[in-house]
This record gives sequence, structure tokens and C-alpha cells, in this order.
Amino acid sequence: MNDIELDMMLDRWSDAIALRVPQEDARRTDECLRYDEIALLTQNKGKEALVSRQSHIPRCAWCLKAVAMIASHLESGGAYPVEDDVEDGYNSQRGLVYRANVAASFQEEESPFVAGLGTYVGDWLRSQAVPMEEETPAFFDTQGTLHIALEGLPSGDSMRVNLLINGAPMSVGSGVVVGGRLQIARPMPEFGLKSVRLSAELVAAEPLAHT
Amino acid sequence: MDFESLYQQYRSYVWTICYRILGNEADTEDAVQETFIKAITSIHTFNPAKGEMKTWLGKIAHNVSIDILRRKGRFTELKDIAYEIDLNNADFEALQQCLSQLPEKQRLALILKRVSQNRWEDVALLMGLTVDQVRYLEELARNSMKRCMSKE
Repeated sequence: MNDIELDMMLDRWSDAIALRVPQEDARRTDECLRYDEIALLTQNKGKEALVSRQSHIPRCAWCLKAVAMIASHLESGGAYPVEDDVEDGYNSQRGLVYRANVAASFQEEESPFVAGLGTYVGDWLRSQAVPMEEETPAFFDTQGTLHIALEGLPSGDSMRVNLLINGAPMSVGSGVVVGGRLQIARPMPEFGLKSVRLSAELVAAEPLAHT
Repeated sequence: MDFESLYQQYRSYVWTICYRILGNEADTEDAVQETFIKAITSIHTFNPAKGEMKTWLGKIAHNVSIDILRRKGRFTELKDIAYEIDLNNADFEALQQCLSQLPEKQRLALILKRVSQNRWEDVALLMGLTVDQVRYLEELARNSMKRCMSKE
């Protein structure tokens, strides 16, 4: 095979793929949030879009994912690790600890809009949580603090830990991997989840620098 | 900025980039949604002096798709992913087989060059590499493809 033949075949292959582009995302209905509305929501505005979709969003995977991404975006604006009582912000007992005001962006009703997003995320998490029978990589303790401990990660790397809300990553914290282990502890009493665990598939770590 | 119009205008372009990286429609639709929401949240970083909106969106689509592969633990197993596309053609089957055997970056350089209509600067932007690097990767990919296709 020469270059010309290869190019012709790649062009035909590319054309064939281009012809497969669906007209619309089948999961996105007329009831779903529009991108213009999402843009407003990411600026903490336009909450009427949420109000008008109150019955739709909890049943819609597309919207729920969008809401999770918006919540993650709003929430990540202020998140930063605290140098608690040990070096590098890492506490061997409690993992990385975050300042109260970070969690407060979710929980203390500073913004009714953020609280509105939390409602959807909380509903979804409650639907996924199961009673805790043994220690697991991700669980809510008796106070409503989410604990996540991931093993087998590259030591020294800075990584973000996400909850996968319908597959959409929602950041819940970040930190440096120590001894292959990354621990996050984050108060989330607003979700009302206590002594329950989450499936390991709902938690993922990713390198901080990548996104 | 009218983001709904932006979505309508560039959806096909973003879809084709994501599909060529992810290889299945379900993940591609996820990637398209994530691409446009990430574009919304980072629109302040778009600089028209540095490139077109299309290329900027393409870079986000590329990164989102790679993130999805990593999230699913498929980054190093991409060669095992069967493309859904059914071209019903033995030559295309061989082509896809050979493409799937390429190292990740070589494969991306080869296919993104086509998505970008042969604009090396755009491929470099999409992959976060220099023009020289993507040209080299594409050359390696072409050589491997020709060898592989001759065997098939």
C-alpha cells in the first residue's frame, strides 16, 4: 500500500464516520435545560430554569448530569486544601481536610440556587447509597461526612476525587497521594446521608493537572 | 454568547472528534455534552487571537474524550475497543484493525489531521503538542499503517 492509497482509504473511512453523526442527542428532549440556561446557572443566575424543571430534572439523565457539572463548577471555585495539623495538608487520621467555608458553599444556604442544585445531587446520592455493613472506599459517617480512601494511586501525584453523578464527575476534593493512598474527608450534612456507603464505581480519581 | 447556537453550529464537528477517539455513540454523546458545558464554564479563556472557536472547542472535545477513556480505565486498552461503525467492507475492517493497533498518540495524530482538514497547527493545538511533534507522530502512524495494511 502506498501513501495515496492509504489517504484515499482514510478519507473514505472519515467520510463514513461523518455521515453517522446523529441530528440530535436522543437523550436531550425539549424539556431539558438549554445551553443558554446552563450558562446562566454556571454564573449562579437564572434559577427559574431549575424551578420550571422541578419535575423533569430528577427523571432525566441528561439534565442530572448537567446539574452535577454545574454544581461541580460552582463549588470548585473556592475549594482548596488546608494545611491542617500536619505537613502538606495531609492528616493521617482524616485525610485532606477542607475549610468549613468550602463545604459551606454546598450546605449553608448562602445561595438558594446552590442549595437547589444540592437537592438534585442529594436525591441522586440517596438513590445510590446502601446501608453500611463494613468499611468501604466511600462512605458517609454518622455525622454526614463523606470519607473516600482510594488505594493503588501513584505516590506524589496531585489528584482530584470525583463522585460520578450519572457518569458526570463532580469534584469533592483533591490532594496528594501518599504511599499509594489518597484520602478525602468532606462534611456534607446537607445531603442527610449518614452511615451509608457508596459503590466504588461512583468514585474516581483523576490527575489534577489534566482538566 | 449564544451557547445554544454555538452548540447547533459545532455539534457535528465535536461529535466526530469525540467519536473517533471514543469509538462508540453512548460515550460520544456524553463527551459532547461535557464538551459544551466545559466550554461554557471556561469561555473566558477563549482568545480569538490564538485560534478559531472551532479549534478551541475541538481541543476541549479531545481532552474530554481522553478523560472519559481514563475514567473508564480504557486508556491503555483502546486497542481492544471495537468501533461500532459497520462499513460492511473488508478493506475498512482491515483499516480499523490497523488503526486500533497504533499507539494512542500516533492514532490521534493521524485521525485528527483529517478532522482538522490537514491543518497541522490545529492538530498541534488539539493534542497540546508542537507542529513538529504531531507531524512526526503522523509520519510514524502512516508508516505503521502501510505496513499493517500490506499484511492484512
